[in-house]
Formats: sequence, structure tokens, C-alpha cells
Amino acid sequence: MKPIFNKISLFSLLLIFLTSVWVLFTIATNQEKSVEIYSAPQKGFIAPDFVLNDLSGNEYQLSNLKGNMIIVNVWASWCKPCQYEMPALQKIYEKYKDRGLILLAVNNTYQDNYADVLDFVSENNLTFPILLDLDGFVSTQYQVQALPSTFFIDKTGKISEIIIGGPMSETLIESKIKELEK
Amino acid sequence: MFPILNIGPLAIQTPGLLIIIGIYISILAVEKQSKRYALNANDVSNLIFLYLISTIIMGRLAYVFQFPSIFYENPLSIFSISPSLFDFTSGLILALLVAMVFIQKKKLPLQRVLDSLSLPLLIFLIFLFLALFASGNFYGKPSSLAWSITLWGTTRHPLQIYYIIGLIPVIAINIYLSKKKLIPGQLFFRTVFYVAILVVFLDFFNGNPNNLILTVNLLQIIAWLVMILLVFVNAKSKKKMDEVSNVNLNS
Repeated sequence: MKPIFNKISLFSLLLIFLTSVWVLFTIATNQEKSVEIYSAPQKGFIAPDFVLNDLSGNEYQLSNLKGNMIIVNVWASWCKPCQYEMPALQKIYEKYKDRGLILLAVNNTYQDNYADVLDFVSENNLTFPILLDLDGFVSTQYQVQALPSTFFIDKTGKISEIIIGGPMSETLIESKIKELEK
Repeated sequence: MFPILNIGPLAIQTPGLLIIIGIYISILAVEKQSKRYALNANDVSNLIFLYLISTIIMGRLAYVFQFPSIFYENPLSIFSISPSLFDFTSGLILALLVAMVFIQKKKLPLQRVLDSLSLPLLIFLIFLFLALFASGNFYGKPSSLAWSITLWGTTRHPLQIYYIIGLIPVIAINIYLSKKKLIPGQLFFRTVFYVAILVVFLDFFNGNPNNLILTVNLLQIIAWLVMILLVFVNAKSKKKMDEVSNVNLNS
């Protein structure tokens, strides 16, 4: 009975040899180049920085909040899914704010009405910072194409999850926070 | 990169749309291929649907088991339609077990079923990479080549397009081999072998640092191991064939 190795074709062996060399070359190349981390609105990348004021005029700079779990929720008062998910966000914020969660609700003020924003915030008793994006800077930086859009940012400042559209349930928000806590 | 297709008030997620189109075309191809391999088209279609549904159910269950306390508080969330409450990798793997049970129960010839699925799977991969291109996922390493695309803060290798271009000769080889008389299962294993070669070579250009364990690209290593495994599977089936033909000659 012939051993199994006699049945391996020369072509297959050549392919295995070539791919082995390629894999080793890849490992060596990866060693040479340090991993470059860019800022971009994509999972695994550093969240683009921004500076915005809240309803009371307090200034928030995203990069200054590094070391915390951060949720950036882009919304507008006229957007129905945004309206539906706000109570869930408020509930989760209350539960996790003492465990290092920062929730930044970035209002697309350039597409919204300031009075409507104020009414909505007081009607829903929202206690997290409502930031005003007056010129659409955050929407542009985060390439927001649908409302609401939510970005979960880990303690190192990297985006760990992006949820486009809504409304998000409490379960969804909480499970993503648990992933941030890992 | 076109993640959202805005049609009037509708915001359609382009990657999802491309995946659905890919599944539809692949199922059409499955029906055509199953006739070619003398299989019952309904059985193979049922197998595909069962696999897809099992992926969804298993993917959700795997996610629930990762966060049991959260779902215990809101049990109805188990039935949520949100695609973010899934663990697709676990779903895809666990659904294979369900598919295997179905194949056993229906007494389907596994190797011929795999052969009939090889071309539809390649077609689906083309749509999968188109979807990844639309979403901007599975991006390449930074590059300054003339054909680089601007994505995520810099110009990069269009990795998804490399894969699509690489899959075209694999499809051509698959069609060529399907016309030859091969041992059942060989067409599928050879197709997987060529796809594995593609992954080993092209994933060098993968820009996702999460794929790396120290400096080793995990996907590349898995593909390389699959290649080696398939070389042995191929050698074993050749050996078996030789033994059968020797027995026939002696008798």
C-alpha cells in the first residue's frame, strides 16, 4: 500500500511552498510597519474629534473625554425614530453614568428648530448633554447619512460599534455598553 | 462607498440590498446546478433556506447567551428585528450543524450537494465583496498607487475589488472543471482550495489591524491551513480511487 504522500502532486507542493514564503513575507512586512491608526467614522478607528456647546453653553471636546465609555447619538427633534429611542437612552444613561458612561446627544441644529429641541428635551426629562451642531460639522465628520446614527466609543477613543437608524431598544444599547466594558 | 441609497423618504442600506440580491441570484444558480448534478432542486433549495434561517436563529441565540442578564430583563428583545443583536460568525458556524443534520435525514449525497453549491457560493462571494465595498468594510492597507481609493482617512488598496477580480478566474476554473469528469466532491474542494490561495495572497493587503495577532494575519493563516488540509484530502481520495481500481483489476 502506497503512503498518502506519494499522491500529493508536485503542483500542490509548489503552491504550498509559494504561499508559505508569501505568509512569511507578510509577517516580516507587518513587523516593519507599525500599525497606523487613522481618525475615521468606522469601527476600529479613532472617533473624529469635535468641540460643541450644550444647551447651557458648556463646551465639550470629544478627545478630552478619552478614558470613558462614550455614546455619540446624532439626532433631530422631528425625526420619529430619534424620538422613540430617547427614553431608552435616558434610562441606560441613568443606569451607567456612574460606571463611566458619557452620552453625547448631538442635535443636528442646522436642520432643526432650536425651540423644538428645547421643548423635546424638557418633555422627555433628558439629563444627558444635548450638544448643538450648528453648522453640521459632526454630521460631515461622521458621514451621517441617516438619523438617528449612534457611535459607541471605547475607553481608548476607538469606535467599537455604529448603529445607523433606529429606534434602538434598551437591550441593544445595553449590550453594546457591555461590549465597551469588556 | 455607498452605504445608504436614498430613494425619496426611504434610506435603503446598500450593503444589505446587495446581500439580498446575491442570495437571490445564488439560489437561482443552485436550482440550475442541482439539475446538472442529478439532485432534487427542492431538497437543495430547502437546504439553503434552512441554512439561512438557522444562521439567523443561531446568530441571535449566540448573542443572547453572551448577554443573558440583559435579555432576561427584556425577554421580548430576543425577537427584535435589529441586525445589531446578532453574532453572525457563531450563527454561520452553528447553522452548518443544522444543515448536516438535514443532509443526513434526507439522505442527500453530500459530495454532489457540495459540488452543486460551489458555483452559487462563488457568485454570492462577488455580491458579498460588492456589499463590503459599499459599506467600506474589509478595507485595504494605506497605499499611494494610482488605483488606490480614498477611504477612512487616507488612500487605500481597494481590497474588495482585488477579491472580486481574483474571484473571476476562480469562477472560470470552476466552470471549466464542472465540465470534466471528477470524483464527487472534487469540484467543491478544488474551488475552496483556489479561494484559499486567493485569501493567502490578497489578505496581505488587508488594512484592518484587528485581523492581526502580533504580526500574523489570522485570516491568511486559516486559509493557508485550509490549503494544506485540502491537499491531504485530495491525496487521500486519489489513494482510495487507486485502491478501488486495483481491486477491480485483480478481480
